[in-house]
Amino acid sequence: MRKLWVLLKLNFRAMLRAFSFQSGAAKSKGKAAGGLGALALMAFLSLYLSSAYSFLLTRMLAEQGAAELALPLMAVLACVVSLMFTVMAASGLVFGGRDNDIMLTLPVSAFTVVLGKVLALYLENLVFCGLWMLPTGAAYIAYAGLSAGQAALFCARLTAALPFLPLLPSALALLGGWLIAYASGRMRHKAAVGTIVSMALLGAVLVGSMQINRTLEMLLRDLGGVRRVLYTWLLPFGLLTDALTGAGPALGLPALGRYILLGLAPFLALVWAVGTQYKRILSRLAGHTLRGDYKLRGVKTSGAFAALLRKECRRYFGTTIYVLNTGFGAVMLLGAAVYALAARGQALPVVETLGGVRAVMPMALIAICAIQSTVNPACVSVSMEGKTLWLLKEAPVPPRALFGAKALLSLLVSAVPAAGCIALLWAGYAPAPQDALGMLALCVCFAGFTSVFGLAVNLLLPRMDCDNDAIIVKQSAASMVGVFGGMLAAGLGVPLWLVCGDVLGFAGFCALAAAVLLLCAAALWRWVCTRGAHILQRL
Amino acid sequence: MLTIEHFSKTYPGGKKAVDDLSLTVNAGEIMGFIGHNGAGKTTTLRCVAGILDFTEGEIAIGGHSVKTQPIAAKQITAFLPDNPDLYEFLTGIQYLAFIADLYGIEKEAREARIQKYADAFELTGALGSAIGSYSHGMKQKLAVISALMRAPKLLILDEPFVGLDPQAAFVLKGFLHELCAEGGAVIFSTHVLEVAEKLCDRIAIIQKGRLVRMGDTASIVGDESLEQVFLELAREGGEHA
Repeated sequence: MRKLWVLLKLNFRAMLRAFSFQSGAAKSKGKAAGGLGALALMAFLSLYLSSAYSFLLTRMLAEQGAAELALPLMAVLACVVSLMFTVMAASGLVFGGRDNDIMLTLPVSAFTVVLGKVLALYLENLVFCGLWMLPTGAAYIAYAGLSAGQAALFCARLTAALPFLPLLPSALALLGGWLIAYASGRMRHKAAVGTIVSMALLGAVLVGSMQINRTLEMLLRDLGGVRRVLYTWLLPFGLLTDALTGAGPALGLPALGRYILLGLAPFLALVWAVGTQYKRILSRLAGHTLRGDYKLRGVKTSGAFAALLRKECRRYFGTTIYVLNTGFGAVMLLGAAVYALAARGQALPVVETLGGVRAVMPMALIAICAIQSTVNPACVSVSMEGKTLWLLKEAPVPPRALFGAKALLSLLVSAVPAAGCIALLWAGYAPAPQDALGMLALCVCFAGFTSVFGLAVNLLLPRMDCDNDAIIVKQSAASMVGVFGGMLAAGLGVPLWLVCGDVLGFAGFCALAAAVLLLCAAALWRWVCTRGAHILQRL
Repeated sequence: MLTIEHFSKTYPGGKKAVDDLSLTVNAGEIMGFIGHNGAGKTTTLRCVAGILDFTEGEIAIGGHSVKTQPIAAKQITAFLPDNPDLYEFLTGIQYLAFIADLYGIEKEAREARIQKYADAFELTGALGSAIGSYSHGMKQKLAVISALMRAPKLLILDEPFVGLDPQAAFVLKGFLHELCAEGGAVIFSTHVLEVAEKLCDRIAIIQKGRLVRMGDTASIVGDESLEQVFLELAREGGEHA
């Protein structure tokens, strides 16, 4: 138990350090405050989203006398979102850690090692689920008309049940991470296989989460059916509902017990199962094929910049966790565009009721830019150099070229899918050519801006000492600020549109916004090449 | 080839790693840079290679200031760290091609040099495999090849013989002499004093960030061994402290 505690502290500290804005020995109060600010922002977003959904849903259900169903539904949502956040982290943290060699040499069982790592994920999920379920509980108390005593009892039950809610997404994340590692370990092109399997898993979770609206409709139409579902394949959530709302002398305690058992047993069983295979999985993952029959033939040549760009591409596409966390938005953009094209017949009447294609384009534009914000490899590209940074610092190339290669890759993986998305929308919905071209120009400029912005953010918030790529791309302060900063920039388009949209028209608005973005990108690029170069030298 | 004048390096937090160091390494010369752990050897070499920033003093390679003309200085330099972390997602040959591209080495020259050095270090057959699959020694050999392939005017090596098998260490010593014969210069740090004594034309000994002895190997060693000289200096340093 003491060893587990030590390992858990180590893993959790590694995760917390990733949130920190400080790197290495350098300390500053401002950066420490910034790290807390990033955590506060995450907490606020969770609370805000949960509050919005919880109060809306609970009110609708309360009108039909089924306020208690808001509890399992929001718990399902919490688990789905937790799973989305941690499935990739599980693959990286549990199976892809650079500390695997050390861990396997410790006089600790593989079960304890795996448990220590998974419990760190569990703690992350617990924080999220706690923040998520808090407004749900408040909404339930408000709309179910509980007395003060009943409300106090409900709070006590929620407090008792909450620690067991994240066990399910943590176990599923471990299973997903295991599958990804297993699949990629058996294939020749591990990174490509890992990326495809992970994309498929994430896609499935995303499609599932997009059924929430349909579930809500079903919920309101057939409350009896929903209750049946809760006691069949969503049994843990049905038991949770009973545990939180049960009446009678037992006060839902038997349901609470069964709910805890249903969460804890599969969790521990899965950790044990992975523990028994842990060394074998890691050995297979680490077992590269070393061949000794290479014959030196012609060696290709290229310029320094092309070499740097090629290296960035290989690093990016050769690291599953990197592609998934900073490139899934690109797949989403193309997927959404293909769907919009395929469902054109159903969508066009809706578009007409909203005022026609021209009226919908600003919304589509903001949506595309918001998704583009998540496609920003540049915001962790410096941190990803880690201990190999010496190679770039020693090379006789100016920092401008190093930064340029990183920014260009980021721009390409963001702008190309956005252009594809716009081309598909153009083919399906035939907007005015000048509007489509304006949209294209703006999205390309937005990609350029977010790339340079991401690079600047990473130079300000580098993490060169992480043991795990997953922590850098998923949880570092730079990745969060890079993505949310991009989203904020996309959001600023709304007031700009409201102010000058009518005067300029859509194409004119796009031209203005693109010009503003280009100016901002140019200013940031100048900073990156001057101050940023000094920061790089000090890293 | 290398001139270091009044160079000092202070780390954030106030620790002075190197204090007012001045030395020169001439063309055709191998200089050994020796000292205790934490004496400031690696810090100095990393500053010379342009990896670490510094504010005090001046470092010039082939007449190019590392501070004001870093690209020109790096173009004629190769640095080999004590524990080279390489891009594990590249194959050996991709890594060498990457380095050759950065240094603008012509196609014919790069092919000939890769062939020469990879064959000498018996690494040619493994060049098609990912660096991630290499052993520590193979990575060290690849890093050595990538350094020699540049035909540098100044070769900076930090503990170059750690991790190399005796055969590879022997081959490397031969190439260091060859580089110097062609007008290049070598500065390397080592804890293996016998190697330094046999290989180096000159030796610099650094203690607690300060240069305490520098000169021709023969004049420094005299009738003693380098090990005895080093230990005496260490004792004196301890007494003065």
